Amino acid sequence: MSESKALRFVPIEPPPNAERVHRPATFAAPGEKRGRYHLPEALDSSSPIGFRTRPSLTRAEAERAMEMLSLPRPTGFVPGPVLREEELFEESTLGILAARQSTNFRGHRSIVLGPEDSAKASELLKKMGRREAPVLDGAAYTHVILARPYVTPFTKLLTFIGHQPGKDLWTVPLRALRKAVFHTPDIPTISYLTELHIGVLADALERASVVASEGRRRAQVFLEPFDRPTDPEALAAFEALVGLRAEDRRAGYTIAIVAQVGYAKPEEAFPLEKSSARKLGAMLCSLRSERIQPGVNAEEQAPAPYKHRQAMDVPEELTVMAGRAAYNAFAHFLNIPRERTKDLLLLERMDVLTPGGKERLRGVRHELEEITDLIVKHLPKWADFATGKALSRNTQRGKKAFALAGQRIYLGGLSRREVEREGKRFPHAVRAFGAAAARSALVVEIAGCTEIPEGCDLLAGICLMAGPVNQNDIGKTFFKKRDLLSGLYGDRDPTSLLVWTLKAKTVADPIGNEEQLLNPARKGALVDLRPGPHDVIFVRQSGRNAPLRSLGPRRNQERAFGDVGNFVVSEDDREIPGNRGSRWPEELRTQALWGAEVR
Amino acid sequence: MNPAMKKHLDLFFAKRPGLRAAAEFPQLAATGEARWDAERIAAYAAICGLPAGSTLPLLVPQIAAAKLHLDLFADRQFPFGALGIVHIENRVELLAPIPASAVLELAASAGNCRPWRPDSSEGWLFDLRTDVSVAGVPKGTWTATILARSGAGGSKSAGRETAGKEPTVDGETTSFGDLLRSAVVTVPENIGRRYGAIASDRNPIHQHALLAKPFGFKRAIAHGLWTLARTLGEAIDDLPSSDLSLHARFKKPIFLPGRFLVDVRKKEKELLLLAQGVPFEKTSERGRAIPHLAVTVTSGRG
Repeated sequence: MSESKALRFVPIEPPPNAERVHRPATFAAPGEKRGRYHLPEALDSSSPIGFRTRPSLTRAEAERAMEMLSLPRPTGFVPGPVLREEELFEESTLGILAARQSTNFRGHRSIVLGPEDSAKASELLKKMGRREAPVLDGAAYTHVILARPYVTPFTKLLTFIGHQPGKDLWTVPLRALRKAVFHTPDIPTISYLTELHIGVLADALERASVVASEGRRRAQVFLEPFDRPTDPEALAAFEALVGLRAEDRRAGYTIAIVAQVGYAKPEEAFPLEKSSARKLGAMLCSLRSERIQPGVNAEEQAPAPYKHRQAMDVPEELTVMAGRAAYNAFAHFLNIPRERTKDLLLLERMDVLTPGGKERLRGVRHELEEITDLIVKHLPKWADFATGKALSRNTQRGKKAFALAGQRIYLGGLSRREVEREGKRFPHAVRAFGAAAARSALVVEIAGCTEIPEGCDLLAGICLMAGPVNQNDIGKTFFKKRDLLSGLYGDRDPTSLLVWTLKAKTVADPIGNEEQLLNPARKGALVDLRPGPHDVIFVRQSGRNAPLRSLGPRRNQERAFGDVGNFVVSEDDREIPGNRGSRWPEELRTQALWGAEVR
Repeated sequence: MNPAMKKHLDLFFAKRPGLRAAAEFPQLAATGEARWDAERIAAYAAICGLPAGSTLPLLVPQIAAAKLHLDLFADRQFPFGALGIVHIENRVELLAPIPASAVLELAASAGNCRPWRPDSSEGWLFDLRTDVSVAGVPKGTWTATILARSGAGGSKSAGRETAGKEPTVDGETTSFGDLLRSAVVTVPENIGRRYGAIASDRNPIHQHALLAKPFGFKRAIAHGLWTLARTLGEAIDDLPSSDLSLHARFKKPIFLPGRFLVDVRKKEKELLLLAQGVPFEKTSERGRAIPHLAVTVTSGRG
């Protein structure tokens, strides 16, 4: 039903030579206190990502990547060779292990079904009734993604918010119990965040199959919630097929995405040059949220490259392409005509370059800080004192998550009423919204990684933020505040969901931000550590789920697409110990995962 | 008392003649056969992080010969008690890969005794050599160099003190060839017990912290041959499958639980593998500069 509009690569003009700065890359000197701007001392992680630099794509590679981002769904699969372990590893790296969802990396698990189980899954999916796309036959394998609600110290803190004095002695424990047993969120956007994460991953899965196979394989991804099947028995049988256990259910895991992957029909294959596919894979491993706009929101102690404005801008045409990608993805995953997406997606631009933008940003910041003050004021005193004021302290610290900086800032959301009028369920639309956000972000990131001049880390980056929206939601739920989008869409009952902040710049965020995702000792409070394959990927073989890359006490230490060599090194060319990783033994990498050729 | 039990008790408690000159070291030898079944090989491979392929893992012949080695140590002529001797170096000359199902014909001998230091009163080095053939065809030689210290005082620094011109972490190694791999290996607390059960090496220093303490170790330590196998496991695809010459130097124990960093470097036909302390762990600068294990592997016999 949905037709994608073609995407074009839009170049970004680098700044003058004098402003071409990059991230300082030095190890702390002996005896020097190490900070977030120093290189990490070492990396001990089974994640395939590691500390990576953005490889520079050629213009032709970027143009091909843009084509990839608007591929229609596959209409069928053809027979092909059985999947090898290394292929699954690389594909999963670009999917579940690297998708932009740092706040819930460990909230997802993937069960990978072989060809026989995939055939059974296909039959069951048909019985369940999938409305967003036809179920295909002949899949070589199937990723079944289980997802659980988002749980971090932030969601724990939310338990204490919005209670009345006196009553809080029993309403706090009651809410904590409801969360533990029924996974009931404190505020609606927390459950939306789980849906957004699912959408982000769904979009990544489509791309992962193409890049990892140099365009030979394609994925048919289903992300509409599975909780209301036409045939409930089929869902139960599907859950049994993937080995969903009672303890998984207790932890809140449910089936969230099914991605059938198979060999593309010749006319639907998307051939990529091997070197380009490797570079694209390595680039996808290198992408990070960029929060700092040089000269705008750097810390006082930041090194010089973060402190000076650069004469650069996000081209208007690039934002048009990013928007186009978002509309494409939203229509694609919601299965609606593309033109309808422009009505359903509610967007507000609110950066300093828009008329009145400065005031609008200031107003949003003021409103969010006001909510923070209200939270602190109403926190149960007994809980705050008992925790050494940790609750109020952390609430205040949360203000950092609302810093809106960038040359282009967009706030996006949906209207539940209008989505339902369209005949779609709201959670499905929120998932499609997550996919749309991820895909539009990638358009900017690819442009930011193309023809990177010498001495620069990138040309543009993006940060997708849910923090401001969550804070606003606390205000809506407990303190009678209005939705952030209600100024522009007040009559449409809007629910804001995400903020995009686009930045043209040449210096990547401090490596300390990445370390929060890879080093348990420095893990950020709002993020999850990047998982290793054995943590979240299980291969279904002979009715059992075997963790990927677990051999005795040995776990993965391979960095995917490491042959591209985009590892962070110091100015004097020293590597971070452990960062390069070590390839998984060839004998195991080349093993076929399931029996014979797919028929 | 049954003879096997008596022999084992003799290993540790029988009075030993000691050694005044290298020439007095007795020439001891033993022969035997061994075969590991597929299940044991798979268990060994898994614990060492190796794929269980169709050929025997590199260090298995040496482990398979352990019974012969014990026989040599138990011999009344053997000058040292088994307690306190330290495995400090290992050499392997592999001529050809050995099929996993092969029956190994093993010939073990102890010899090449020399003073550890110019002042021989501090201890002696000797080689424990194992020649391996399959169906009469020589497959290679495995040689462990053992230090028998004269005085008490444990073994913690023995490897370090024999280091000589070995590469250091911050010195020659950073300029040796190209870095192929760099990975952190996590070592669980129970690795000594698990590996010991498979390799039939239940030396108390590897079993538990409480059992290791009386021998001067603050915690249990990993088996040297496990550390070597696990380190080689990180470079398994870089190793020649035949005509391989390996020289490993055990310099510092790995305490359990723990982790170590393996760097694999290559220069022409030579590989250098270093198992080192992980930089973000609290270690003195001096401690960090000494690797746990340094291994050189060359293609062709050295």
